[in-house]
Amino acid sequence: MSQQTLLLALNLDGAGSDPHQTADEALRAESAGFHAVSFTSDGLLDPVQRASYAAAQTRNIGLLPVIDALFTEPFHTATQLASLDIISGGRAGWFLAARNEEQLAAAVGRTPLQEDQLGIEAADVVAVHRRLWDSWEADAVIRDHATGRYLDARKLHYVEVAGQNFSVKGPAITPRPPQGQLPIIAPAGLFTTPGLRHCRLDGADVAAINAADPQTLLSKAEKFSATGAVAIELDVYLDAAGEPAQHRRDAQPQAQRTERTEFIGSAQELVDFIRAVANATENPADQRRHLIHLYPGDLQIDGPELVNEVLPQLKDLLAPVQDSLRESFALPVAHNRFKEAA
Amino acid sequence: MSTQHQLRFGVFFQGVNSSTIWRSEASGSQTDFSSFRRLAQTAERGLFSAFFLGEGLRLREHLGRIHELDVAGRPDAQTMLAALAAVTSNIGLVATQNTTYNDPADLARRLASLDLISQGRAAWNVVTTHNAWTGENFRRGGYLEHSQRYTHAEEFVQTVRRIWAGGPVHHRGEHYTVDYTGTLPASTQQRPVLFQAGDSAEGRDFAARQTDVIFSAHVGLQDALDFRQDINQRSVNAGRSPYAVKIMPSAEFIIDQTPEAAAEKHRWVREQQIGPQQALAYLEQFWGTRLEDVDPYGPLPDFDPVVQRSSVTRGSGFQGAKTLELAASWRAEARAKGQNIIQFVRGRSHRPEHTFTGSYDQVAERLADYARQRAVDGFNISPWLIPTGIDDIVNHLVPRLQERGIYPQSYAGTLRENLGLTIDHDHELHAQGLLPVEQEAS
Ligand SMILES: Cc1cc2nc3c(=O)[nH]c(=O)nc-3n(C[C@H](O)[C@H](O)[C@H](O)COP(=O)(O)O)c2cc1C
Repeated sequence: MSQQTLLLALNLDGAGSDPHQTADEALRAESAGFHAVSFTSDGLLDPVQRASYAAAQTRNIGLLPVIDALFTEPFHTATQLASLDIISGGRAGWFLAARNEEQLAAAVGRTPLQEDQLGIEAADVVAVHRRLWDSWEADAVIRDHATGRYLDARKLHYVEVAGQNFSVKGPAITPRPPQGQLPIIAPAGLFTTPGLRHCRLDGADVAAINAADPQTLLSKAEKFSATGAVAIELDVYLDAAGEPAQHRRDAQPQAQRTERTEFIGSAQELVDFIRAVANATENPADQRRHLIHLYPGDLQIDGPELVNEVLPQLKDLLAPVQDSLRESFALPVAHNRFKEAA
Repeated sequence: MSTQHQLRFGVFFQGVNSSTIWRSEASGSQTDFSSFRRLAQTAERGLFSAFFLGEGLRLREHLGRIHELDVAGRPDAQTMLAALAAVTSNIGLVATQNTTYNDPADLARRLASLDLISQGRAAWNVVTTHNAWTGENFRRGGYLEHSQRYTHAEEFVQTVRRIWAGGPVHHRGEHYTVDYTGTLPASTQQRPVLFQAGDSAEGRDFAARQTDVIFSAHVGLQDALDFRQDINQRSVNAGRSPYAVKIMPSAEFIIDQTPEAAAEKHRWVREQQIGPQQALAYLEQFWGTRLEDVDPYGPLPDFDPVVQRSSVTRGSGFQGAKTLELAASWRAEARAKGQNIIQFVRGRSHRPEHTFTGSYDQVAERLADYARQRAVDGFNISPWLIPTGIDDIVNHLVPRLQERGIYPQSYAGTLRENLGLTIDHDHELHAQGLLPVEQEAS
């Protein structure tokens, strides 16, 4: 008997830079039963802002902006993500990217890192986020009339992260997000030693996996899922309205291709592939949930196929959509490290 | 159509400050989205031009500890404004963002994005906080000398403006190296509106060269007129016309049906804002030591401050002051007025020139004077209560201003249009540092 171990996320970049369309697509994904929608940083409106705009118009769908960890300020991105979590009432997650590209570095007057340093840098950046999100205990705002105190300083903590390339003092300028800790999804390649840790308080929760083709992706998913939750990254082109997906894919300019695994075929074939992923990653001994992250080749064509032809056939595999993204991932309650130390 | 000078309102959701009341039953959450939405939608009902969010990049401290007495915990400005863009349709969305601890390319991209997601309603309030204490939260750490804050800010803003103007930007400056090409198109208002909130001579010149609107601290009528004249002159020096830069001072309104009711409300507001602990904390900044054994209902401390200069609540706007003289003069003043500590501090933060207190009609008349003399282009209102603090302004004051022909009857379009601003193409090039300003011989 298959278990309800899968989460489905739909990428909404296809809605472009039109905020109304972004919100409409997010609502459609929400009513179809997707667990989350995602927004990448490729030349469109800011992913956090798109997620926030969509948050104001939806109720229970998760929101996954893609934010780079290398050439950004960890203090700012931690504040932005906590704010998205506050605005959405606990539905935010972070799809961490580590794009070590000349162009991104030059925009902020820096140079790319050494490849073997990426995992360490990502780990330092994640540590800043994790500790800042703990730096306000959940009940730090006391509004105590008798003593005239709005805050209780004993429930606020300096984070004192000293990373290899930077340090951050804290505390956060934003209260603890409703989820406590946001789910973090990071590329599997960053989980190095020393580097980012998988499924630890100071690490990321989900390892995102890429491969050259679906079969390799499947075997990688099987391997990685033994140690923690995984996210399967897939560009999908589905046969639709009598047109084979391969035609659309071949007509697409080279520049629009990505490094992600491509899935080209019918809705039924995609259903079968996702069932195979569910079997390969199933681990009855734990509560682990895995993410199938779908990037439609054309949101207007593949989106409706996914909603009408794929999703209804996967109901038995899908985890229930919970009030918070953390709960949808069945992650344990995020205990506050500072509270435990006290 | 009215030819009278129009006043416009903005609302400043402060989020971190000592004047927002939190001890009253009527005070809502300072952090929840519902509070922001409620305030923004009320402001939009009152045809306000702008909804402002401030920024402070380190949690405030008092005498070396986290400051506990004031509201704090403000969500990120642009993330919040993007959500508000989804639940409003006309009001401008102003993000206060610092030039020291941001990167020009990243900030240019995010502000351009906010401008598009809001369909031409975004603005950037340029602030220059540069202390090393704040820098402890950032990759670069504290790196900027006080004297360089505006040359640095100008390099930053010029770079952002060039990115917005389109095309590749290859900048090699004293403070920044940036290679970046923006990917977003211009919004319907061309670029985000620029606000500025510094007050030194350098700050004013910077505003005259670079910004569209000044968020000033000069509220009293004469003070506002003097400031207007000063800014007009600086604008002319920068190659712009007088009145090219709009001025919206920060102000507080305590209004009611009758003058008596307003006076009573005023008393209540001050009582709520400044309790015994707040009064002592105020003095502690100047005495430089904890005064927990001092009776707030008694006279000012009879001992001298332990510091030469005030050890300010870090992250607030105070400047260091010479404390021995100050303590002596305050003691004398309080004694002469027969005030205890609470009464004295309430009196000092009374700021009568900053607050419009009176009946709806009285205050409307006072504002008509500002409009007649073209002293300001509007007010940026700091509500003392969240989220209901502007309800009476929208319900009672706005209609009275409209009757007098000094307040808009509808929204004009983009934020730029709602503020009555236009784009001057020559000036845009000056402000990008691409075209020198020709000084007219006079
Ligand atoms: C009305 C007003 C509001 C301000 N709001 C902020 C703010 O939210 N965040 C901030 O960092 N600085 C804020 N400032 C500080 C100014 O940006 C500026 O850094 C400060 O006034 C010092 O500049 P100056 O030396 O030119 O006066 C504000 C200033 C004024 C007058």
